[in-house]
Amino acid sequence: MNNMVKWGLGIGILVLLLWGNAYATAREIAIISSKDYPSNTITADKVKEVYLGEKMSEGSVKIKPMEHNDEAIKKKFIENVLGTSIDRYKAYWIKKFFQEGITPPTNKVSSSELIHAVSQTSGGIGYVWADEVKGDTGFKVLLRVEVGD
Amino acid sequence: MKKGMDMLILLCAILLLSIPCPRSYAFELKGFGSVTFTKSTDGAEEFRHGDFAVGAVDLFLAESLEDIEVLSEIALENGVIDVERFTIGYTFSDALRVRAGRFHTPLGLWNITYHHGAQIQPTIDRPEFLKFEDDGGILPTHVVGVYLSGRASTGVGTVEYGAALGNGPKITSEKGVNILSPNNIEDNNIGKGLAFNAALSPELVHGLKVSMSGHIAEIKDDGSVIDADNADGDNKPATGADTVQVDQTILNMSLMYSIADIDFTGEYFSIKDKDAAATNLGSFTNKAYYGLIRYTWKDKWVPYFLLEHQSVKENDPYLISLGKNFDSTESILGLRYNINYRSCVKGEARSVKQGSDNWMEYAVQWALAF
Repeated sequence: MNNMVKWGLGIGILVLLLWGNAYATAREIAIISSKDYPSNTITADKVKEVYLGEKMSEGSVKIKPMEHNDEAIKKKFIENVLGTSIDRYKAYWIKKFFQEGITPPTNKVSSSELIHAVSQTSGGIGYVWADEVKGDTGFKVLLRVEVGD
Repeated sequence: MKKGMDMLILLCAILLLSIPCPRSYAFELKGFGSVTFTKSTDGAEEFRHGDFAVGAVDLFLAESLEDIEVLSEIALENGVIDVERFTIGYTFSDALRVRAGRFHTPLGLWNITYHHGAQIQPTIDRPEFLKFEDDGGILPTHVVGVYLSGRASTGVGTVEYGAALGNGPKITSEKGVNILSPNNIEDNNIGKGLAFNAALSPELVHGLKVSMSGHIAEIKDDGSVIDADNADGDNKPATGADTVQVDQTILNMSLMYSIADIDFTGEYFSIKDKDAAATNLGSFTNKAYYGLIRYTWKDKWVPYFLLEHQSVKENDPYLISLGKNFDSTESILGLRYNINYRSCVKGEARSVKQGSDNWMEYAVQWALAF
């Protein structure tokens, strides 16, 4: 009986650990856009082009990328979606801004401000944690990207 | 009058930069600055004593105002205030962007990549033949006119293009030295300057960019140039046969390749000057190139090597008037340390050969984007 309890506890703990780990690695970033954005989806490569100032329009709509001020999500986005580090990203934008006069993405202080700004701005595009976009219909979710825990 | 205008430009620049930005960007950038120490050995008069120099204090502004883009770059250098770039622009789409004003000629990669910011430039100075006009350069690095540019993704890769039409440059004299000038407020000849570039970043070879560009212009002196090499020693404007008028065609091929943490850049220029003055001396084709290789270690340390060379025809009236009618070769071995993404320190040892003179130079630069 004792052995069964021990085995049961052990398996239970293992399941909890695995579940916790799976939950932890499943966190996603959602790429959202204004309703007038001409497409309903976007690839990770295109997101990269948008945030590096290479792609500035989609059809007749000028894209206005927005940045999250929260360091945790910003770091995940830059490392996992753009494939670079924060310092390299900033150094890149200093060059880009200076070379071509293209302005970098604007900063928003919170997810709610970013969602509001994206919803209200023609061509607005931004990123938030996927679990923060439930139930809101003022914007479109173009892409979800798993970014680890 | 000139001082008054300089003060007005400076005040406008400070006013513009002091206006709080209505948007908050991922960073703030208002300009660039640098301090350089250079010491040379035998050969050059310049730097013989070991000289500290404050580089251009470069004040920068770029903003999109209701979809109209404005870019302003004003440099304070050697006590002079220069509007280096000023453009008003509009982006129709990724494939078509229009700008008007004064901008960097789309000629080669270096000229449209590093501009005036020492911090983003890989080396302390630009290659000798790519120096800006007022710094003794032989290429038209600025133009005043209109500029169309764009980019498109195609099946073979990303294609970028640019085409500019503007005032053709002139040769003028400033403080007793002949220099090239972009003709900021007028054109002293009929033929307009035409520049173009096209670049391809192929899908098949990640990190590679190849480009070609060119510039065609009629170049005349403005009557103020000192005759040729000032052989008569009178420091007075040239007359008659010394008048400079050339039809110039510059062609460029460039290559940029990044693999892992290694970057290679190479550019080749052919500069053909056809004498269009009464002297009719014929055509002269000059060559200039550089190659730069860099290795970035942990984002902090960047050792680099640059080799540049210009091979010229000594009777070319254009180069004679600019005092650059001699071959030159320079090898630079350098090390850059990135303090952070805004600031770096560079150290260089240079072996310089100009005509029959050889010397070494040693330089250290602290550069900042602020």
